[in-house]
Amino acid sequence: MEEKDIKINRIALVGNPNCGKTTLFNALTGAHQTIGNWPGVTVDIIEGEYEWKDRTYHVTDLPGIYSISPHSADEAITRDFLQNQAVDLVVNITDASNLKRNLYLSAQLLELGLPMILVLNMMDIAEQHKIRIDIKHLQKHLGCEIIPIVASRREGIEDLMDRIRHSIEHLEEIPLIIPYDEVIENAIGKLETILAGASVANVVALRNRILERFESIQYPGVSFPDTFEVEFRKQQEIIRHHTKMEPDIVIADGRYGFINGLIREVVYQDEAFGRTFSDGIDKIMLNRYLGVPFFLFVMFLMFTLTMKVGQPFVDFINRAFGILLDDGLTILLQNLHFPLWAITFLAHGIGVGIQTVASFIPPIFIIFLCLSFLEDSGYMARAAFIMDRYMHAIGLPGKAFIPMLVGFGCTVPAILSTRTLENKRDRVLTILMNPFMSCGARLPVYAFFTAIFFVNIANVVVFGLYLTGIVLAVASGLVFQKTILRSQPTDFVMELPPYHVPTWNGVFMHTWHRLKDFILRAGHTILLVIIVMSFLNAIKTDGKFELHPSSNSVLSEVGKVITPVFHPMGISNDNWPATVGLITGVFNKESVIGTLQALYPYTPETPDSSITMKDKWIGAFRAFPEDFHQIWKHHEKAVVSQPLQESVRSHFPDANTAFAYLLFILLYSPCVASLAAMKKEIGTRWTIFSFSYMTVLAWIISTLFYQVTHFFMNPANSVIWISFCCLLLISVYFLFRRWGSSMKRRQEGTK
Amino acid sequence: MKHHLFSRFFRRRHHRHGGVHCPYKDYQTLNQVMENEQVLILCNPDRKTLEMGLYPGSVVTIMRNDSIEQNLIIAIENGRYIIARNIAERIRIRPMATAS
Repeated sequence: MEEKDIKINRIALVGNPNCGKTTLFNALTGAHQTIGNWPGVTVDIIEGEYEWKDRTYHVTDLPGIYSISPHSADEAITRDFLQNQAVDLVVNITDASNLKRNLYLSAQLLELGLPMILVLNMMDIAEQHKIRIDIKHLQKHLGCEIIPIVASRREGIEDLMDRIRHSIEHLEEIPLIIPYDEVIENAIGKLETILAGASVANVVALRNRILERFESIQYPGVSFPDTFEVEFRKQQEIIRHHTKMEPDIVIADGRYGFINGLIREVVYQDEAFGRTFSDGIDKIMLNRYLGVPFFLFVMFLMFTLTMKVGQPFVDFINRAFGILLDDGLTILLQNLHFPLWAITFLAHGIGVGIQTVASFIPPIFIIFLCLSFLEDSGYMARAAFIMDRYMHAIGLPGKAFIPMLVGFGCTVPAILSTRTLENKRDRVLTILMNPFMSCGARLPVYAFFTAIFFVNIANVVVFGLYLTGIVLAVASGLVFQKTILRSQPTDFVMELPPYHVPTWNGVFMHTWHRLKDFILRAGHTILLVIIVMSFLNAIKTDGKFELHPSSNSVLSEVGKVITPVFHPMGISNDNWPATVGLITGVFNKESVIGTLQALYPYTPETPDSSITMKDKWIGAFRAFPEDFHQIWKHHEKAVVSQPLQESVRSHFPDANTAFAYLLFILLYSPCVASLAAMKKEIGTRWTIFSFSYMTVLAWIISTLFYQVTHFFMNPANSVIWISFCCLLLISVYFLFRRWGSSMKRRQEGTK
Repeated sequence: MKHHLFSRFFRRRHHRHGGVHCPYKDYQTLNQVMENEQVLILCNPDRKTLEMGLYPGSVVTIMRNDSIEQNLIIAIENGRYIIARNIAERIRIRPMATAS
C-alpha cells in the first residue's frame, strides 16, 4: 500500500459572483463542505477537502467579489484571507462568456503576485455566444496557467485537478506589472524612493503597497513613515490636478485599459450580444403591472408552504420530544430516584430546551429551502428590484422586504435572512423592525383569547393585530431613520444573474449550512435560558422543588411583584398569572397559553391515567399523517374548555382588557430564540435596545388602548395615564434623537 | 492659507457635482437615457460600478429606465445590472444607437 503524502495543500477559490464558483467547489469536494467560523464576520466562507492522486487538498470557497477593493464585507474577507492565510494556490474562476469584467479581479490578484491559476468556466456558454478565446496567447500575457472547464457538466475537472497539483509543485510566481497612467507611474516612482529603506520583500511588493494606499486598501498593522504620508498627499493632489479624477479611479481605469487591450488580442467574437432568454422572462417578472402581483404570489406560496407544511412537523417534534425528553425522562429519573432539582435540570431544562430548539427546525428549514431556491434560480435579485421603490420610502433597500415577509412565519429565520443585505445600517434597521411582524407562534395566543372574548369577530381581531404590527413597524422604521440610524440606505448596485434551474445539491447545501448555523449558535442561548426559567418555575419560595407550575414558585412570586406595572393596561393584582404568562412568553410566545392554563384556578378535565408511554408514542405517530391531511383544510377554532373560559373571563373584566393584553403580546420583547439570533447578527447592544424598545412601546400602546376604551370609567385617571404615555413617547423620540446625534458625532470623530 | 481654504471649498463643491471632471463637453448622464438605447461610457467616478464593468469606453444598453423607480437596469455585453439612480446621475455617457 502506498503511503499518502501527509502535507495538505491549501487552495482558495476566488472569483466574481455567479461565475460558477460553488459549482466548481462542489465538483471538487463532493459533499464534504463545512462552513468556516470567522469571528466578527457574517459572510460565509465554505471549506471542504478532496483527495487527488494520493494528496489531500483543502479548498476554501471565498465570497464572490468583483474586486479586492474595500466596498463590502465580502471583499474585505477575501482580501484579508489572501493576505493573512498561507495559501499554496489561488484558483481564480472566471466566466468565459464575460471575460472582460472577470479579468479585472484576475489582474488585481496577479498584481499581488499570488501563486495563481486561472480557470475559464462556462466555456459552453461562451461557445453559444460564438466567443473564441486564444488561451495560449492569454496565458503568455498574464503569466499564469489557464484551464478551460465547464463545471456544471464536470468537463475539464480532472485536468484542473492535475494542473492544480502540478502548479503547486512547480509554480513560479511571476507578478503582473500593469503600466498605469504616466502621472500614477511618476507618483509610484517618487514614493518608492521614500520607502526604499523599508523592510518590504521586493520591488513588486513595494509597488503594490503604494497602489493599495492610493486605492484606500489598508491592512491592519501596516503603517507608513510620516515622510511618506506627506509626499503621498502631495502626489494625490498632483494626480487630481492632472487627471481631474480621484487616484483610485485613475488606477481602476488604467487596469481596465490593460484588460481592454488584452481582450482585443485574445478574444474573438463572431456575433454581437443580443437579448437573452432571461431578458424574455424578465419582461414578465419585472413587468410594471405584473411584477408586484407575481412577487406577492411567490412570497405567499413560500409563506404558506412554511406555515402549512411545517406545522405538522412542528407538532410531531413537540409530541415526540415531549414524550421522550419531558415525560419519558421525568418518569425515568423519578424511577431512578433522582432528586427533584436534577429532574428539573435534566428533563424540564435541557429536555424542554432541546424540544424548543427542535420545534424551530421545520419552519426554518422550509424557509431557508425556499430562499435558497429563489436565490439560486436568480429570482431573488429581481424581487429586490421590484420592492426597492416601496422599501426606499421607509429607508430600506428592496432586499429588506424578504426578511420582513419571512417574519410573519418566524422571526428567527427572518433575522438570519437579513444577511443578504450588505450594509450594517440596513441590517440593523430591518432586524429592529422585524419582530413587529406577528410570527406564527403568537397565533395560538390570539386564537385562545378570540375564542373566549371575540367569538364572532375573531378574524377581524386577528387581522387588526397583524395590521397594528405592520403600522408600528413602519412608524418605528421612520423614527429610527430620523434618529438613531440617520444615514441613507446603500445605493443599490447588483448584478442580475441569468435565470437557471437550481440544482438540488446546491439548494440543500445552502439550507443545511444555514440551519446548522442556527442550531449551533442560537440553540445554546435558548437552552441556557430555558434551564434558568424551568428552575425559577419549579423552585418554590420555601426552597422546595415542585415539578408542576404552582402559585408559590419563584416565577409566580416575581409575576405577583411586577403585576402593578401592568395595572394601567388593565391587569389587576389577582390576574398575576397573566403577568407570569408574559414572562414565560419571552421564552416561547406559545407558552403564554400553557402558563395561563396551569395557573388560572379551574377544574380541568381529568386526563386518562391509563394512557401509557407506548400509547402516547402511537398517538404521536398516528397524529402526524392526520395533521398532514388537515394542512389544506380550514383550521378549527382553538378549543378552550368551559371551566377555563370562565376562569379567564373572571380575570379579564371585558373584551377591551383582553385586547390590550393581546396588543402587549403582539408588541413586547421578541422571544429568546429571536433575541439569540439578533445578538448573533447585530450584537448585544442592539439586542438590548430591541428588547427595551419593544417592551416599553408595548406597554405604552396597550395602556393607551385600555385607557381610551375605559375613559368614562375613571376619566381623571385615564387623562393622567394618557398624558403620561404621550409624554413618554415624546421623551423616547427626543432621547433617540440625542443618542443619534452623539453616535453621529462619534462616527465623524472616528473618521 | 487663503489658497488652502479655497482649494478645500473647490473640492467640496466638486464632490457635490459627482466628484469628477469629465474632459468631454458633449455628454449626457446615464439616467437621462431612454430604454433600449445604446450608450458609450465617457466618465465614471463611482468605483464600484467602474470595477463591475462600467469603465470609460464600455458600451451599455439601457434595459429599463422608469423615472419613478429608484433604479435602472442596464446591460453590458451579456451581463445585466441594477444600478441606483443616484449613481447613474454621476456617470457621463454619449448616445450611440438604439438597440433592436
